[in-house]
Amino acid sequence: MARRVNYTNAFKEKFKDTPSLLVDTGYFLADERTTHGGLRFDSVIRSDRVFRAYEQFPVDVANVSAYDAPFVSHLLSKGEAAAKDKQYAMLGRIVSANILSDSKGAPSPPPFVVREVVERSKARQGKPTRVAFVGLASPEANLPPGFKLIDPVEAAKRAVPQARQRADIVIVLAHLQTTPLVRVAREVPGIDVIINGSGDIFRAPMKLGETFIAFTPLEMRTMGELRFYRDAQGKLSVWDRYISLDEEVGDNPEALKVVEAAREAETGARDAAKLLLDEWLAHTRPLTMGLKPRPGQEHPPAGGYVSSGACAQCHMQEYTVWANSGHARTSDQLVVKKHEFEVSCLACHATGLQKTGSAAMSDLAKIQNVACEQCHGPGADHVAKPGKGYGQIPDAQASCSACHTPQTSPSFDLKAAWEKIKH
Amino acid sequence: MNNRLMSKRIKTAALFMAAVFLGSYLPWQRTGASAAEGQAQQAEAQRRFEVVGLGTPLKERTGKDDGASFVVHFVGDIHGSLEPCG
Repeated sequence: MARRVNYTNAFKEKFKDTPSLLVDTGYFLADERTTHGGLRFDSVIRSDRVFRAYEQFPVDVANVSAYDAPFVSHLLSKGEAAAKDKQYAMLGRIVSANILSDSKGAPSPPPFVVREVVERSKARQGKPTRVAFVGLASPEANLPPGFKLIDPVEAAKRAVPQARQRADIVIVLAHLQTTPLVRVAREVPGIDVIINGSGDIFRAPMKLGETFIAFTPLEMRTMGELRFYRDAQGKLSVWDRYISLDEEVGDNPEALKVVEAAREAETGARDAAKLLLDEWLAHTRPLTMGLKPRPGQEHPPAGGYVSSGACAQCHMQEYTVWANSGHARTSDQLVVKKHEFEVSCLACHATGLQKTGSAAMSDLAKIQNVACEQCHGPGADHVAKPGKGYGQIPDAQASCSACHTPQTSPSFDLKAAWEKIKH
Repeated sequence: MNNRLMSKRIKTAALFMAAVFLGSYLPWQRTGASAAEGQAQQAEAQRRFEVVGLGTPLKERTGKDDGASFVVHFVGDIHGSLEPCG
């Protein structure tokens, strides 16, 4: 981005009288998902930084691709609060004609936005030119719950005539595969230009019918530049340039600070998450393993939890069933998928999480794995004074479905699962 | 300029030129256009774009003032990364 800013600044300095807009054709946000399909915490951090950077070094319009939808939906579901938040003013600059909200809580992005430019052309006589930007996406990634993606050709057939009525020029910002792209160009009249992000390093522009198609180069190694010209009769033509953003372009110092801060925020958060997991594993190991405290030491306070080993003293048969179940190994996955660890994982991969929003060791889960006490409750009082009344589960379905949700366990069958663990 | 940097630049340039070459010819095979139509479109496209960079100073990369009425710069596919290479 620091090189892009340097180039656009140099362009504006040299072409003071030529208005320019900067657009993004989509997949500008991060989309690494967790095992359960949600956005990973580092993806949220990266996307947040891109949104802020696009605000600080303004991008005029950005197309929402299927990959951008999770973070955008996360913001849209916050409603007006996010829109009013200064750092998310970018929400007013996104478009999509075919990613639609299914829920009342989150609005859909607008199908198009109109920007005005005062052309240098004498043919326009100083009259502002209205440029409409329509957004289109391919179903390349799973959309978050509450959003649906409709056919891009059908969406374009609806949105482009509306945009045409309100603008002099219609530009489609697309993130489409070749087949729907060609169909949009051939079947939807009224489009002057399509700028398409196809994920290729470089593709030459083409013209299909009256529609000029330019392709966005992958990443920020190259940027595109469409120059629009008017002839004496006011007819529009286009010239497409691709500018290599190699090291000779140089970094804009202010933008570079933003890039470096984003890098530090991401790596810092990852390092902190790994460290927290290591500390939690070390902290909970003695109680989980039933190890006796060393002389002069005691186990850390465990909030009334005593571990499955303590239960086994009297309930060996039940303990054996549990020890041979998946519940006895749920924390193993935290180590295997360390890169996506966040505190909220402990709610279902460990026992006794106190506060999901806290990183304080005293608020975290007390025991590794989904132990007896995750369902039956802390057992210290029961161990101190054994008797009936402890451990009843009034609603097993509610208890199980708190963790076995359609998102985390799509094929979960309570009856079949209970057969495996009944005790 | 040391040899390593020169080698890196040559590799980058070769990769970029290969991408430009392939990107200029392959798209036509995927549009469903006839051979004649494809050739005409290809010739049209060659007249309609240029690639700037690879040793060109920043001031020259912005090009000549050729009377453009307005300009749209475009980027994309950065995948949540503000770094030059995604």
